[in-house]
Amino acid sequence: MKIGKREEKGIVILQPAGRLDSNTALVLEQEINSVGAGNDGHHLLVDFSNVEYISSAGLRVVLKVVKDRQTSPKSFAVSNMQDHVREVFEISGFDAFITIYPDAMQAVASFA
Amino acid sequence: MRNHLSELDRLSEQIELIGQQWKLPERSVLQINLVLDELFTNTVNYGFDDDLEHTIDISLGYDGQRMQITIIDDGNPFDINQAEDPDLNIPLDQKDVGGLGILLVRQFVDEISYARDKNKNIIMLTKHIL
Repeated sequence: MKIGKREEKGIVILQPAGRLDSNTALVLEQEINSVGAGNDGHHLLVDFSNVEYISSAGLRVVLKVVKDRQTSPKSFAVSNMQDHVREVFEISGFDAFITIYPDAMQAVASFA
Repeated sequence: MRNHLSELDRLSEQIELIGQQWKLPERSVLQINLVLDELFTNTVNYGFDDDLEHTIDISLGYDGQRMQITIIDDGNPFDINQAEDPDLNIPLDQKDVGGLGILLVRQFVDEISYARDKNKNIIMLTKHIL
């Protein structure tokens, strides 16, 4: 899995591309872990626009980062989900504890 | 399929091909892919106590309205219909994703039956294709 990475206004934006399954979830997890969540860390946005598929293994990574950052000064959000990916999120009840922004701009604004 | 997670790519390629041949809606292809991914991954991760190579047989049939899927493995007995759905309302800090795969399977197929025959698990799924 290829993961794009850029920084905007102090926010790290990861843009994974392809399939997020039990084969590839670890790659995203490692990339997420490389972004600090402490005072000297960064807010984190995962932009899902190029993720065409997610399984429960991908959901596990998302749940872990939400939990890790629950009490941290740097927050976490997701954006740009394709319909099928969003549906999997919703069925799994993940939309109850994570805000899914329609685009990266709105997500970035939410961190302000 | 062999009992390796690296087979997931081949699994999704095969499902894509079948979807094209049978002219299935993209949405159905993604759902079938997810269902097979979850069941296959479960079996690979929890089905076997040895380090030997095992084969997981997956076959699909389609009559123009209904997709019939059969999955056969020689792993530990696991009756999917006895598995409980996770409680989605528990507080975040106690949450884990155990059981979410099964929940997704139940969501995206219409019927699930299970049989244990000799040393094999046989899961049969029916999905109406709209």
